[in-house]
Amino acid sequence: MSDPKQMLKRQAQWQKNRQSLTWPEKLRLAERVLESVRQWRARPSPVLRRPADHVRNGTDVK
Amino acid sequence: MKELAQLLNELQRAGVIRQYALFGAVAQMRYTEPVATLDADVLVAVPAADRLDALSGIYEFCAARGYRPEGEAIRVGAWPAQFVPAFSPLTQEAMEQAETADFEGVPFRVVGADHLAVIALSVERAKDFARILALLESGSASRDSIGSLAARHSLADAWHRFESRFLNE
Repeated sequence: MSDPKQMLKRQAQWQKNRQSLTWPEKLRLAERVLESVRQWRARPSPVLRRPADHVRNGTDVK
Repeated sequence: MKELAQLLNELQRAGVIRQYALFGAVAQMRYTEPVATLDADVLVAVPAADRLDALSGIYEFCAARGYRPEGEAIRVGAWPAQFVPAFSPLTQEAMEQAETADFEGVPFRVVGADHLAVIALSVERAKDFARILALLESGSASRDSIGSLAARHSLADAWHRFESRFLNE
């Protein structure tokens, strides 16, 4: 693989090329992002697993 | 987005709004590379702008056509559309002087690059600064054009702060 600086430069250029898309094409890309965010937000939030009370209080110590 | 363009034109034809123009990130994308955004912002002029429920006519018109509120916006197709009354001389001018773009065969009024930049300058959040830089980089707005428009709207100091922070070496 080539030098990371060159890779980053090529990546920046590739992203910049999206400027030449038509406005509706750019908005379709933005719509996909929007839809992904919507789906992600609709997912139930993960239940945080907390240690059981007796463990946190140290009352399980024999 | 085409559905939103059609709806806005209908709202205007029906006299619910006097004028409209798209602004914010969706408008910015006419000029720059695509950016992530969660809603479409629309400046509107309504007949009774001084009323507390100035936007109620828009909500009623949309509800009658099956469009439902989503938070502070109205969901139109994929996009939550947020209606903002043109509240200042700057936003009024931006709306009046907006360009009419052709969006897949539908006329769609969009705020021009200089006004987008100066509205962003007036808000001064990090993403607004990024918008100004993106518009400059795309060549759709120039330092001179933003500077003179900013000065006309009493934002010369904000523009100088922006220049010294982001543009002057």
